[in-house]
Amino acid sequence: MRSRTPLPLWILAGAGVVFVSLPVVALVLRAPWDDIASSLRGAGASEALRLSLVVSLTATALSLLLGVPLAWILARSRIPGRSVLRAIVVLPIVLPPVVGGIGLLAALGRGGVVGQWLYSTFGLQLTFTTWGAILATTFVSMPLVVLATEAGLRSIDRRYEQAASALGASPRYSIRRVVLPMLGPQLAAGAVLAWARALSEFGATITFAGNLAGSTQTLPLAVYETRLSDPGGAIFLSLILVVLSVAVLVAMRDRITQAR
Amino acid sequence: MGLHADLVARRGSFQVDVALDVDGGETLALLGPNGAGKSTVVDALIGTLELTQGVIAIDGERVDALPPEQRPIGVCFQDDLLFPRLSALENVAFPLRARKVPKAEARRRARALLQRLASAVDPSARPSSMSGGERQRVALARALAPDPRLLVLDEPFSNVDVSARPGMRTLVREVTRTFGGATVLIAHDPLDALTLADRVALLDAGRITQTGTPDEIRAAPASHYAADLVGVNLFVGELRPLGDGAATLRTTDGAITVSPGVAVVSGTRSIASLKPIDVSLHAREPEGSARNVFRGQIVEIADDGDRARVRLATRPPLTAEVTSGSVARMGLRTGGEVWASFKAVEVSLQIEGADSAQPQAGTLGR
Repeated sequence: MRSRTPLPLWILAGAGVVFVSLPVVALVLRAPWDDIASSLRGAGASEALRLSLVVSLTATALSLLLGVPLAWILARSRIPGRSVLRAIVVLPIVLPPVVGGIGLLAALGRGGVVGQWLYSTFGLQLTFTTWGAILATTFVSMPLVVLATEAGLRSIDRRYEQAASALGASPRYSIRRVVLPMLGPQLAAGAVLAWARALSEFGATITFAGNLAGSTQTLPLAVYETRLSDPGGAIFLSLILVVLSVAVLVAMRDRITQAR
Repeated sequence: MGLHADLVARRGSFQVDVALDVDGGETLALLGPNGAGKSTVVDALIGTLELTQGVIAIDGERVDALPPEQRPIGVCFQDDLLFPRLSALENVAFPLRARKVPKAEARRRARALLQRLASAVDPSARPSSMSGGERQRVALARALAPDPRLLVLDEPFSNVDVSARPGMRTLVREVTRTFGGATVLIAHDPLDALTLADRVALLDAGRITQTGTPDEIRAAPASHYAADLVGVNLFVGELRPLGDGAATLRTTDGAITVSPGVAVVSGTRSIASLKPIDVSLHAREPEGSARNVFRGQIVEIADDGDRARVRLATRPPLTAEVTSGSVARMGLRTGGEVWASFKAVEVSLQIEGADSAQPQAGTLGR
């Protein structure tokens, strides 16, 4: 049985596909393939790629480390004001990243609320360092881990945890052997989403950590800087990001591209 | 020794208030309809629900203040609740590992238990690849793994195929007989309670309405509810096929004609049940299609002015339920003679070792 689709739908859907795919196709067409090697070198591609991977993967790990316990509290505890807490935690998703960057500066910058103390006590400065870029990226990525993990936790029948405790498991053992394994797919989904967001992060990073080649200049920042001086190099850097993004899509294939 | 529980527990506005005493080696069935409070009692015993007041003692030691993981209880849950990401072996080893038994020893003991209770199950299989009956066997092994002093079996047949139930019943009977501690069997199927337990406690609306041996309760149900629930006629014996698809079930005290619905081998053991309401009483020898016709003396008439349960000294003994009006109209009285009849198809059969059984064989009672 084939369902008949009206012609206008085909036309509009086709326009949508063209609109979304044209920029990517254009990148490939406009890339100065003849001097690819010198362009990539001139744009500092390998440095930016390395930094992007270091920052995005570290930020993903930090997001999991902090986000999973947070999701646990949100899903399982009965603390008052839980919905307010959830709103605060997921705020970075809706907040313009540049606002996040300004906020991070006000909090952790050298003259910031906490940053001042960090600097005077430990001589620790986060702005314009790779750790600064990692923190800015974590700020925007962690909420995605929280949301995915909380949804996963809510979908797990709590009777499994009760069964585990009735069978002699301490809460900690029950989390390790029963809940986390059952949460595996959602944890993976949250991690990949956070990683994707971390790779594309721009606003908070450039505001808080600056745009320093070799220490805070990730791929998106490098694209931004080279787009005027070296348009060809910017295109190649962009294509690297496209390839990484496709890799994310492949990792997520069951979740995003195959809606059921 | 055994379990001594006298507890009040509340869930929302629902409250259970029960006293349970089960000796070591004894099996008590807690029988009641859905909503009677069975799972609330289970949660209170295992500690996932706090007591409002009361005592739970196992082998003389108070456990009601202990968190669930420190109570010496083995639980076989309704819906098995095997951990989906662990293999059968890991599931059975779980209570041991949780109690810090070294891995190798935990696995050895788990393997032995699986071998004994679920030999058809691949130890490395995940629960999702097992049948309901296999999962319940693994769950039973998991409950026994930590050598508990109280065994709680929460409707262990609920997810088991009708065809796999007789085997599972046999297994549960064997396990509870060899288990040295107290066993509490939660049941909503009267046949489970009556055939597996040493004593039965009827739970209704959070309270125990009657406690006694299966025979005592069947013979003298204390309420309509009890009568409906457990006042069934039970026959245990061997089947002899008749030519026409029917069969004779020979008990030690008389025989009845049944309709197995499947081919049976002569000598197959079977448990049959018959609701009293399906037994008709007649002043004269009845004419008609009923294949089971008996004549006997009335032993007892329990008449509450609405319905009457009439116990007969037929072979096998029968209990019939008729209206009080019929008792008067037919002039039934204790010591008098009466005819009783019922149809072969009214008898529910549990055939041991059968691949399939009658659809109605799964649940009895109400």
